[in-house]
Amino acid sequence: MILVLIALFVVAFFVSFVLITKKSLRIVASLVSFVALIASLTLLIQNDKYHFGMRKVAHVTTHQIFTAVPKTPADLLLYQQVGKGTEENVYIYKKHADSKPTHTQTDGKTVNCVFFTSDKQATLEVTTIRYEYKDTLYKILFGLGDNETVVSRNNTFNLPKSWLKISTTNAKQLAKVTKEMTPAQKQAQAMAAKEFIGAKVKAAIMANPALATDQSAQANIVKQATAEFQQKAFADVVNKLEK
Amino acid sequence: MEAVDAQGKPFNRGLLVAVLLIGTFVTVLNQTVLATALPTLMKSLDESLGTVQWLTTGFMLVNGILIPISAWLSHRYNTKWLYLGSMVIFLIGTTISATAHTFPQLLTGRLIQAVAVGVTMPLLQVIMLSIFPAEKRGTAMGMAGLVIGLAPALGPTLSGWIIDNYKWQVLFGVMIPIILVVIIAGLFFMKPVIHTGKEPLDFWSFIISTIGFGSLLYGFSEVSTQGWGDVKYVILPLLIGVIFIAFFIIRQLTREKPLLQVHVFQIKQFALTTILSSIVLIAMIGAELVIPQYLQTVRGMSPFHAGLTLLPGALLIGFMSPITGRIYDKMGAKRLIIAGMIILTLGTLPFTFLTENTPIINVIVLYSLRMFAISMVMMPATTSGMQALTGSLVAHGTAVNNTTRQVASSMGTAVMISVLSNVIKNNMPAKSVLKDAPLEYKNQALSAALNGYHAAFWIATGFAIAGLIVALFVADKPKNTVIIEGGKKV
Repeated sequence: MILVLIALFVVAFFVSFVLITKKSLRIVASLVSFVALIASLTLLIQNDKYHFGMRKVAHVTTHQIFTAVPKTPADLLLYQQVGKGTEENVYIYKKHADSKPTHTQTDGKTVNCVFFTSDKQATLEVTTIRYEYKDTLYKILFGLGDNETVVSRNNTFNLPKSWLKISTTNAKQLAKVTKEMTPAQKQAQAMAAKEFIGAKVKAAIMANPALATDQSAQANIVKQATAEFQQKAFADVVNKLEK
Repeated sequence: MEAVDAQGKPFNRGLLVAVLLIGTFVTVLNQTVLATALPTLMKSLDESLGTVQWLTTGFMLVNGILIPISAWLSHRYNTKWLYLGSMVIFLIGTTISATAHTFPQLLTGRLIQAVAVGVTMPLLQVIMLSIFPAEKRGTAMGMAGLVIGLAPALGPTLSGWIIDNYKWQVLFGVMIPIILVVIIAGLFFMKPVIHTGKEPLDFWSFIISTIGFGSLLYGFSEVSTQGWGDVKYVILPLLIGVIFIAFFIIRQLTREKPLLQVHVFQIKQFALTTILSSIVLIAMIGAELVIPQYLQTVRGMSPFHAGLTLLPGALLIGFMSPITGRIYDKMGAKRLIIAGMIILTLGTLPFTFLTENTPIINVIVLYSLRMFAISMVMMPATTSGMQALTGSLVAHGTAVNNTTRQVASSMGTAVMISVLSNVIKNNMPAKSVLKDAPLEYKNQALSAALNGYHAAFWIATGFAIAGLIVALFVADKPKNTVIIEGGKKV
């Protein structure tokens, strides 16, 4: 609307200053349209530069996220270091289990933080602060050139304790580390696994002697313990890389 | 009233004007048609930017060298054959460019084109002033303004569109059929409308003028890449240019039959309006240069879309030019020009507040506002300056006016671009920021760029205010208005 007004006042100023022959009428009409033009231009600049007629509104949305790297013993939140300073990270995740990975914004207005919580699900809470029109009057006045811009954005990742945070470079290392394990290392790990599982089964039987004869229950414990060990071993590798 | 040509024969003025406007439109289009095509040409011809830029710099130089002698040409050669000859030269240059696959061939084609454009643009104005009675000159020049204002503004958009969809050779190829039609129609409808005589060319004036304007324009064009402090490419050419132009002016003032009647500058109205139209041209070209840069670097637009954003403004100046010309005929120049300069000042100021989120529609409307203002000043000021001239001085006045504008616009461009790049350079964040925090670096670089655009538009606002002050001294209707027919005083 303000743009339409500007166009109208320009034409009005032009017509009154140039085309009106009667001097007194010309001076009055020119002055009025000139002042109106200046006022509407000022409003336009005030709105664009100083957000006149706008207010800051915070929007919060929360949704579940999924690991960007499937088929790992533990879910991973990937991040990429953008600069040498540790502040600017871009996090990579999936919005749905079967969708392509997405990443957090790189607009320089975004702050990311990661928390490990006791939640069962990983969630991303996005707080967006935007300029919005104060009311319909301002929306009509300035709405033509949509000026509702983002001021700042805060991405908070709330991750279950089972999740791990790893940089993209380290994630690449990860595959290499597992592949390039020496036979001795493999053997050591197998031994540790056996020990860990054995201890678990033993502890379970101690707690509940009835299990000593229940083969299927034992198999269950072994399965659980194996998964637990794998997760722990994986977490160890990740944590070692991340240091 | 029936129009008669220089030999007293009646002719169809409407058809002559149509042939003249269409032909000149196509030639003037070539001033800016490569602006957005340079990256494509670098790739296609496998040349550096510095080399490829000669396609526009060389064009501008040849163009600028030809304009001062256009006055002599238009009084020496039969108008019909001068115009058709220029169009044939233009056809040759365009054909060479359209079939080019190597840089030397393209450059050759462009330079030949430039010879023609250097003649057609001033010739258009002289013819328009010669074939219309004094009270219709505003309208006539308004029509010329349609070409001079619209064609350069349309060039970048057109080339952006063609380059996105076709090979770059098509840029020139599409002009060929239009030129052919113009040449054929010109054989029938073009008439010798300007009185001619057998004046010999003052060879030394020509040489001095070529060296003078050539090196001055070259010096200004190098400022954007070398900066003002560069001795070899900027200071030396500018110095040589100024010295030779001084020689040229002295020679013209002392000779009985000069190549260019520079003493037209002694007529106050002519001098004032020439300064005014130069300032307005700087304001126009400066914005046409800076706004696309803003749209591309800060807003991430493609060159073509940046061109499209400026299109409404370009069309507006084409639409308004004949209208303001008619108003000039009725109301005189003074109020029209003052109102135009006020609107131009008001339309430029908001650009000094550009932000990274300024709605594009704001840019479109404000740019159109400026173009509206420019249409109120550019041609009416030129016409009003020409009204102060008599008889054969019209062609000389046109040549002087066009030469001044050419020099002013290349100087204005140099000033704007150097201020822009200096301010951006001084505000750029340290390189270490790029390493540690690239996103923060991007933000700081953006605000540095914005500072540069703001500075450039403060300069443009300064030009507009200076123009407004000059406009206050312009007379409504010059006293010594003369009626000129066929280039001869009646």
